[in-house]
Amino acid sequence: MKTTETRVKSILGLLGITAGLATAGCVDTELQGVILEDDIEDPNLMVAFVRGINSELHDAMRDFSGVWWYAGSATDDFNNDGTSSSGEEILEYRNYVDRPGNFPWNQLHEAAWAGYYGVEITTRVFDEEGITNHPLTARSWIISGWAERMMGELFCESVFNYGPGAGALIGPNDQYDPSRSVDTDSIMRRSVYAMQSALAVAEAAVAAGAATPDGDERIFDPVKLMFAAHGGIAQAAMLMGDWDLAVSHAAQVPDDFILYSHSDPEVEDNGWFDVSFQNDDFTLWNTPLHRVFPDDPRAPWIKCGEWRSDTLRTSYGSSRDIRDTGLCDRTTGYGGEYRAESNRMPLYSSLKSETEGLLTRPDGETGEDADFPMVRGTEMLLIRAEKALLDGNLAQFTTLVNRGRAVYGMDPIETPTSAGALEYPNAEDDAWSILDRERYVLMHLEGRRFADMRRWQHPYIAESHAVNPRVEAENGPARVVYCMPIADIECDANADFNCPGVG
Amino acid sequence: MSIHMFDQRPWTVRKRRWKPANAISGAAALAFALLAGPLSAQTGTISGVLTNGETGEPLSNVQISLEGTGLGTLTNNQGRFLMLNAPAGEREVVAQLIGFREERRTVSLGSGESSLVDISMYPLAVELEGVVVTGTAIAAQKREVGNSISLVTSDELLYAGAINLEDALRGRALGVSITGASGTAGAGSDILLRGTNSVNGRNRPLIYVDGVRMPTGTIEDASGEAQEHATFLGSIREEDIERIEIIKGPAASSLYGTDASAGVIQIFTKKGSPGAPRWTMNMQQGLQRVGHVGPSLDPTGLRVNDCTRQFNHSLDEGYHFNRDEAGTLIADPGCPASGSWLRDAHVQDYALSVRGGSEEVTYYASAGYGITEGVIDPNESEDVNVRANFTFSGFENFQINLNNFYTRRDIAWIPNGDNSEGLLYNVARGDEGETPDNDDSAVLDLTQDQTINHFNSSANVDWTPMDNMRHRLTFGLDYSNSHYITQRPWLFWNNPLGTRTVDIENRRVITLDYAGTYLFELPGNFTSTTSAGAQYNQFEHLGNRTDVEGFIGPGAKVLENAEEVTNYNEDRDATEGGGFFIQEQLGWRNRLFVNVGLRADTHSSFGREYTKDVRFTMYPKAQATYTLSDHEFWPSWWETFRLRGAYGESGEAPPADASVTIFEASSLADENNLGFIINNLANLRVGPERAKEFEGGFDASLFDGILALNGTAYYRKTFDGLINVAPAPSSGINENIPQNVGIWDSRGIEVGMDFLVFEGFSSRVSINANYQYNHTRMVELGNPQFEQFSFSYLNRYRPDRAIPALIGKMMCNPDEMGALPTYTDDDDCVLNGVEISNHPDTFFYAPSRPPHEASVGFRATLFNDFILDAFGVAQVGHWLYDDLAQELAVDGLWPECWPINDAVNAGVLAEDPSLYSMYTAKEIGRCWENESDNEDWMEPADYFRLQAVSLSYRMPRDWLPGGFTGATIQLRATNLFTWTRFSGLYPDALIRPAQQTARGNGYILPPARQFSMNLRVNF
Repeated sequence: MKTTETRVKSILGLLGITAGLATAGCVDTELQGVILEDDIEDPNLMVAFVRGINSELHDAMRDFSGVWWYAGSATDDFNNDGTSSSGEEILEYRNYVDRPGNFPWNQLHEAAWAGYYGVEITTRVFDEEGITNHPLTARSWIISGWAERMMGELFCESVFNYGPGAGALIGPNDQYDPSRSVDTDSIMRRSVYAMQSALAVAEAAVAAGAATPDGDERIFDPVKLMFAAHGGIAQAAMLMGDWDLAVSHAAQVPDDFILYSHSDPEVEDNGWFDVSFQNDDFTLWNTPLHRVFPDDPRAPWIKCGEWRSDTLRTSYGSSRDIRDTGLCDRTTGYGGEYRAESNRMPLYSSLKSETEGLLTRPDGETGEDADFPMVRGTEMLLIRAEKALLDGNLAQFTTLVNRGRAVYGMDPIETPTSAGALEYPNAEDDAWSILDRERYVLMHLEGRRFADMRRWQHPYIAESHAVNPRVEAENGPARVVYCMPIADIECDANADFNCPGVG
Repeated sequence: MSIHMFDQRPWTVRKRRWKPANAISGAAALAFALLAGPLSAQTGTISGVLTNGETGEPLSNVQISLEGTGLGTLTNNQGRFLMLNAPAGEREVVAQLIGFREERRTVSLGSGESSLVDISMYPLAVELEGVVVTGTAIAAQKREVGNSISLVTSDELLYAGAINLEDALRGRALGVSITGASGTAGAGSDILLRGTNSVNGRNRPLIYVDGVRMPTGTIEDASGEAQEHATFLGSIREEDIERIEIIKGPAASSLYGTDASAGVIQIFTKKGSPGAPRWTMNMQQGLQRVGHVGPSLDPTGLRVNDCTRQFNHSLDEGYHFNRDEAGTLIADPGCPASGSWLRDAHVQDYALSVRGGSEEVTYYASAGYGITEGVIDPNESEDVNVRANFTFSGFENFQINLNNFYTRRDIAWIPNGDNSEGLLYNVARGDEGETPDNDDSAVLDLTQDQTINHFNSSANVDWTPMDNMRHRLTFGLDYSNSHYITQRPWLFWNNPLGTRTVDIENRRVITLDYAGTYLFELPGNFTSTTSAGAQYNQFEHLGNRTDVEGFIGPGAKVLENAEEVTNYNEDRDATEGGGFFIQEQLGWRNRLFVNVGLRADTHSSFGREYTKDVRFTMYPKAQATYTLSDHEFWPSWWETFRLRGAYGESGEAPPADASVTIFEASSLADENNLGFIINNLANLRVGPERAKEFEGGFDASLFDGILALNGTAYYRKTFDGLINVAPAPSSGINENIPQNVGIWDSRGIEVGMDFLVFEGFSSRVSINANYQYNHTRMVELGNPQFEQFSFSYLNRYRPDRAIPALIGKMMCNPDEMGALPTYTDDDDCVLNGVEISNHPDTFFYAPSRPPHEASVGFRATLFNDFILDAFGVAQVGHWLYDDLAQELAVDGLWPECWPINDAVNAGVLAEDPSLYSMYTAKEIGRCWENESDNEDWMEPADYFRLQAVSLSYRMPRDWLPGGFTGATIQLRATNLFTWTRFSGLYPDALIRPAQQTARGNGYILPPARQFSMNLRVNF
């Protein structure tokens, strides 16, 4: 018996020693020289943290393959004449069966997730009870809301799985399901949810007299964030067809309000500026801007080259048909080019990201630093104008349009005689044509045109137009495509999801 | 109830089988006992020396007994014994030592006389009584262990004729794959156990030295210009090694837990033994030489062997040597005065060791110094090693071992490999190289000097408070430091400003290891052994690298002389891991053993959520072994037969940064305001890569040890395999993060044979052969996106394909005469009557690691004094991409391609395919500059190498001066001959990136032949 006792004691002794030596959780990884999440969770560092989160959204917008490029390539925003990958994909997509859009699909999801991540961290840092009125939390919500709104504008449907392991479950949790897609309305509901959350936080911040973090009124002013949230709700609600919600919130935004996606982690690599101003892959030749609105200050542009005859020519030609205007700077980038890449059409470059001043870029940087406008009071006026048009109230429509034009010092328009209809090319002065023109010019090259054309069943797409006659000649009429399918990368990487065919 | 004693177990003498000889000797003893009674008062003295027949080394602690008398003694540390008062007459002296075959000698002892009996003992081919440590709780007899353990002993290392320790293991231990051989002094090789274990992990076994972990793998090649690496294993001197134990996979390595799924190599260094100091001195002098480089068609060996002639090729003149106007051959610019880039390199090595001590303290100390010149000047490796091991046994129940070594290695590398600043790259390309005016000597102005300091110290405390309880505590520290300085001098051809890179890498590994065992005897001839233990390891790494540019003026420079710092980098990281285990082993009659255990592990690299949910990850084990030959019914000619089987799990920790989110501070985040940008996203659920393995096998010895066989089959499945997955974008993550999603499996067999061909006339001839098959196959990549992805080089992974595999498009019309090739990625490819549309299934796949490996050894000991040893290895079944040949073919510089190039160029120019109709599309594809593609140069890389041949002569003791106990002269040759069909420089000279799974053949110098003479003296 004693031996058995000794044995039991001995075994227990062994286990005691081993357990003592191997206490769980006492091991730690030390990575010096890097900034860890735990380091970040400091109230004093939250401003820099949210600036970093912000950059994810700007990435999605400003890249050469960003939202502006995809949405613009598929529409009449510009004429894609190059062979750069995303442009080629778009052309193929409109003419063949393919799944373009990997970059914006990736980046918009990442930006939306990053915004939710910002909400999670700022909420944890600023208020242990999980209720915060901090402007940085509001800004984080807004980033998610904007990203999801743009996702819905560009893609026909989406998939969300911001679940465990990829950040906390924030937002409309019932739609985190990697195995199913959701339609545009659902995407917009997510955007509205994020913006309503932002609005609540921003209003609370204003009510509490919260200071602007870091004094940076461009992106952290609680009042501006409140207006941005109103604008964001209006943008998404309009796309859902919830006009009452859209109009009620649009009315809360001052006419001259504008907020940007300020941020640029690589200031020397702003694709929006580089391509639209300097790259010969891109030309505004044969776009409505060239043919219909040559002098609108909201969308300035320049002719680097022009046809030797017939400046409104719409057929492509050869290099000898084009002459150098000498207006474009020959010393930087592609500024010396005067023909688009195929040499069959003149290079017309956009000055939108380059031009300073109240009309085009109030408070926004230009050039390589060009910030991306995300919401404007003047866009809100057009939302309200569109609702008036739908209601048949042409007088109010005209009033609202002219309030917007007045912000830019432009002459008012006459009240149109009829509602009319959309057409392509759009040269008529009926109300729908005016609305089409105003939205086109106001948000030119901002990635918004695709969604307008979808909801309007715009004749540009519905009748298979292409801005680039060369592409049309070489590939035949473009397919009718109002939105992009789920990107290849999701189909490949999401084992839970069966991608439907395209075609 | 009796208590099973620890000390009894290692000393359990193997059951004697009944043999006629025993019967005769027994009868003789009986008769002697009956007849000799009256003479019992007449005695004499028997003395002698016991030596290891394989090595000539004296054997201590050999049990010497005089049959039938009850007299016995032990040999001392000089192998000597003295037996006083032995009864006179015809007597049989019996020598027994665990691990060695019993030896008997008959002596006639006259009354008052002395008789001298020197006995050589030979290791048993299969022995079950020896003690092994690796994979067990503290230690166990081999007969108790259900998994296979490969052992490499000091005598095998003595004849290995190896250039480094990795080379010494090549082919000598079953389950071990050594790849990568090079003629560069200082370079090490890669070690894999049982094939590919991991895709993204270390893929390397754990290495322990006397119970202390040391870093595994290669030491940084800071600048990447040498494309060769030293290894940590290179710090250990072969002469200091007593034995190496190797367990090869999770079936055996469960008790090591996380990090052990690629197996464990444990090195035990020599210890002292009581007695007077016993010295051993080794001296080696030799040379190494690289033979013909490249295709035999080219007499200059791609200008490497002979640079006195510039060959050239043109359409008009065909292949020719350039001559000046006088018709004299023009040497390659920069050609050394010797006329060759290669030299006969001097190899020298000196070592001195001593062992001895008292009953209380024993010691083993050694010092070594060696210089190995590389075959290209100024490549050289200079090594200094010092070791001091002490054992303190003077305490009651305690024994303390202190083991320490320090190694310093100074290596001068040369720029080489697939590198535009590399020597072979530029020499082989002639005037198509990168050097100005084709003066390739300019390459060697780039200097790369590495100094490695490596210190390892361990303390083992053995405490035996009771006869049936034992504790062992090991504490150890391994510290290594590498200074790697790369310098491009001022006015260097490729960077006239000059550059300097100083890379200092420090690593510290701390090991704390405790284990305790309790033995208990149960009724019914059962025994119980309960064990428990705990381990803790800490790895700390500090890397500090600075790159500068812009020197003014000649001379030696330091960092501060530079005009500009172009890059600086400081890495500091540390990880910790630990766990504990419990194990129960039941034994029956010392024949059947069943063992179950469980290891619980945690590691700092595990994700927070994984740790929260799982707390400890568990690795179970179960083993059984049964020695059937201990039964009486077993036939006597089959003296040993043991069956064994094992199941176990172990793991591989994720990378240190896998579970943490890292931010990058950027002033560019927002208009020059500080912003934190997510740089690395944590996988909070990341856990260890886990593998489970089954193995079964046997050990057998037949015909009184004439034939010994062992075999093992295994199946291993890795689940939760770590793959860098780009998650679905819908998860919001837009970067690859390691995830536990992969599954791959491995299977293989290992068969070993030892055959004693002849024994008699003081001579002995034996043959041993090993064969192993390892095949690792990707099962699931965890994500459809990765069904086919490039990992590195041309090695890619696809489900159901070997990993790593060489992959490439296939040629559709290889045998078509006079046709340009088409490939499976061409629109017009028709293969076997089917139109191919660039589908991955139409690609070519082949394993790039050898699935079949074999070795064969021959050893003849003639008249006790001459030993001839030869050893060859083969690797078969794998393919490599010969990028050197392909790149030279593209440049029109590969000799076998010249006629084809001429014909095709002429035919294409004349639009007349008949001009090249004598060549197949495959020949044209390989050779024509416009077509030659990677895939055309994928080739089988099978090879057989006569790795080492040695002839040793042990001088008779009579010849030796007083005080000397032995002397051996050895002539040895290494890498004498290689047979291969591979067209590249060498089928095992590989570019070795940090990730071991990828393999490519490039401008790596083939391994040199080494010829040396060794003198080994004991005194």
